[in-house]
Amino acid sequence: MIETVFSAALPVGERLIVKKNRIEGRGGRGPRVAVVTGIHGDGLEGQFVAFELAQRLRERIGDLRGIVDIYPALNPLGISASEHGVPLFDLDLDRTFPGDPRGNMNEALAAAIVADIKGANACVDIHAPDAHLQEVSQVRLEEQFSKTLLPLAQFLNTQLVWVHGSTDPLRSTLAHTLNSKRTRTLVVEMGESLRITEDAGSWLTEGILRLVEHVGGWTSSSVALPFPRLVRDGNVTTVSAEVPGIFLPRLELGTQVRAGQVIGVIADPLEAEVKVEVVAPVEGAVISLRAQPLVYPGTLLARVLGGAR
Amino acid sequence: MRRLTVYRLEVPYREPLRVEGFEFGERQGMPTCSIVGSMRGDEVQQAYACARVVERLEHVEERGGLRKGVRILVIPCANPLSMNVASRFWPADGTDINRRFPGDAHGETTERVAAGIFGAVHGSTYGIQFASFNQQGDFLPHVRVTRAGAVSDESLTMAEEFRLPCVVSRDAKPFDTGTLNYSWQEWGTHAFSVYSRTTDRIDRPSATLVGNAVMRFLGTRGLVSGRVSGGADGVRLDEAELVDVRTEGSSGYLDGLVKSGDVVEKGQELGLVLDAFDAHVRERLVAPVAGRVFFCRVKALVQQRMVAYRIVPL
Repeated sequence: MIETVFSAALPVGERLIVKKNRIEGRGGRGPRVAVVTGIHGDGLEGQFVAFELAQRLRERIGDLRGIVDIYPALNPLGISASEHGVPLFDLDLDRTFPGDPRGNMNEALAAAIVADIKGANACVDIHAPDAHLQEVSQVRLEEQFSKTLLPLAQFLNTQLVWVHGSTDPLRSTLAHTLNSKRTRTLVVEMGESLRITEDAGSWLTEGILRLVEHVGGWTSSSVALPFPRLVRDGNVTTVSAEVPGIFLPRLELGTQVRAGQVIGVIADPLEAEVKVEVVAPVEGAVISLRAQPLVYPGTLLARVLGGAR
Repeated sequence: MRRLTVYRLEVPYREPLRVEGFEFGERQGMPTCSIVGSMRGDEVQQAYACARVVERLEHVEERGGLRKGVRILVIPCANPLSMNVASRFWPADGTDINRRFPGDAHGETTERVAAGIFGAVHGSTYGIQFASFNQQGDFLPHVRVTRAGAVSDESLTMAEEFRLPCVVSRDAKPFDTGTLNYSWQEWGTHAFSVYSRTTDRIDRPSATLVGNAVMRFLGTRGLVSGRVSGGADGVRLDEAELVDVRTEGSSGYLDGLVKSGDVVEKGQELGLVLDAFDAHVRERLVAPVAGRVFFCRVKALVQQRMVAYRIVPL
């Protein structure tokens, strides 16, 4: 059943409406799991998962106990404009939580989202990377919540589970807000902005079904990938551009590299020169790779996981 | 006055980003006062007001009005790269330099820019930033102190020396930790955010008003000599005391009837929300209290549930 989570009038003959697809099982009373995506209008990876998951559940509705709520577009204006933030407000919706029901439209929207999801047995918040990167599928969770979230993160069929430190801006995210209210929320990052990576999406769909099964809501079969690799901040080395130019990668995401191996080059098309060869500082797997060619000094080009210098 | 490049960054297919500073007085040591104008590409009024302060300090220095031992550093435009393409944020990745402080010289691009700026202005006794809000509007010129460090209470008292119509205090929110104002305070600087009426267009009277306020502050603090005069006995209040007037059940055209600084009575009409198709009045926005208008929304279109006015209650 399609339900309205939030609605407010836009200036000229239209309403901003955030909807969810509530799928209620026929297998009896059970838990409620929320799957949310589209908080950033340029993160479309979750669109495929929302679609696939609803299809899978409908096919085997008798195997579902309880409720799965799917919110495919928390930021409908951003998605419709392919913009990261909320077009009207020039701000990042995922930095406005917990919101304020008495505040401006965006704050009231954030508060309505929290009120609707709060109390779910688990929540999965699907993102694409926001810095013109490609990333392998990963659960990202804050250290302070890792004790309650790690036991759930293993089910989602991602390649990594990255436990990271907390920073002040993260306190304004949906995931932090819900976790602070004891609604266990896992952030998944994968793929690339404005793209859909179907393989990773299919595995995540299976993973969400495993999670629903774990909390007692799914009695049908689902497919498990090998256990994800646990990552902490200290295991990852970042590689940044030091000169401006056009980045041409010389390997693919997920490649295992040796220390000193060329990741890509930064070219100057005007002078027709390679300005810099970008090399891996350590041995390991390339878990993030720049997708957009234009780079400035400081632009993140790659992250390498593990290995030794 | 000496002109210097505070920070330089090579960028693709354009001249390098040069953050330029203007130094007055002593050449060595931490600045006694640092003044920063625009940090975002649409902060034209902030850059303009700051450029006028450069002009005034130049005259002060020429007539020997700068006190001995004082060093003042002014950065009128910290982000010409964004300003030249009319992009509020960093054009390549949409990040906001004023969420990247104290910065990181080896970090992402805007962290490097922030580190370059902070390297020049940190350790100042006083830090003044001409700031803007993310929501554009018509604001009552005021000075703002965010409670972030041990110096905040003292800063709040000093803020009255600007003699602007309002001194607003507020508690820091999570996003504040990346602002210049917050980083200044963490390192013991008395930090002030000065707001004038506009952002992306020049409003000369309020630019002059805040420029006068900065010069008055420098005079009262003993950095520049000369008589200190003018200004107002400002109202000191916490941001939470401002009274919001929102569109509750309607949206459409906002027909504003007042401007910032106007004194209004309880029940007075502040604006009308008109239907976008037939111009019928859908909502009358009235003042719930008597007071002075602090903020007016200036965009012609207004959504439901938007703050259209803020009032300093009497």
